[in-house]
Amino acid sequence: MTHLSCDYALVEKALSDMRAAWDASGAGWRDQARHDFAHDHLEPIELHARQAAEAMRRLDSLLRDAVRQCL
Amino acid sequence: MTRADVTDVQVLRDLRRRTAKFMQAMAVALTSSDSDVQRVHDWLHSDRLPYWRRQCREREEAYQLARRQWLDAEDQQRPGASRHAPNKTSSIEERVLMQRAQRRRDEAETQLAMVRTWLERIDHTCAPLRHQCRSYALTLHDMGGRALTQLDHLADQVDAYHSFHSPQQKGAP
Repeated sequence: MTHLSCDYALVEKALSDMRAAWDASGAGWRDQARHDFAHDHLEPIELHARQAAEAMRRLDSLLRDAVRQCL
Repeated sequence: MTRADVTDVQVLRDLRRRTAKFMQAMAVALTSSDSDVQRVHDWLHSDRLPYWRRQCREREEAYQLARRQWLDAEDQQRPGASRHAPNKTSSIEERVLMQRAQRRRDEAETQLAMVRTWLERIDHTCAPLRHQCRSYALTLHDMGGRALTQLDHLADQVDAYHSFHSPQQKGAP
């Protein structure tokens, strides 16, 4: 038990990749539907994903401490 | 109705693909996080706890043996204490061995207490975080599903618009 499978850093990368894709889409998509999509979908998803990443980071830190101290 | 401004439907399809990939990464990470909690709990409960219990028992026995040997050595230092064993001049070696055994026993007890503390901490501190992660997983799954559906819907609208206004459509008899 030295390896924990959760890599919450990958979540940060996936988030930044999605944000990059969103920014890139601005060149070919410029209408009200885009603003609505950002407001109704993208921003809430990002908010929840960041909160989830923080919860995973805290869990990961606790579990690593447990493994290190009980090895 | 607002004017649609999408130069290429591929923009929406690319965004959908990236969003789907992101949702998948989130689901994998949240599932992994959840299973990590269970794995560490199981490891502490089924591996570390019996290991350190056994170590406590064995090291206590080793300490008691070393203590008896030290007491014997102390006895043998007394003049005429034993007719079978020669008088010892010192019991320092036995005392050092006893103290070492005592430290090892104390270390095992400390480690056993540590394992018990972490088992409680995982139950009480990790459980709410684990619950949060499960809740986020469900919420994000729903939100992501709606976002993907919306992108599909928008892409279909753009496709329909382009096919209606395509040159073939205009030139058709």
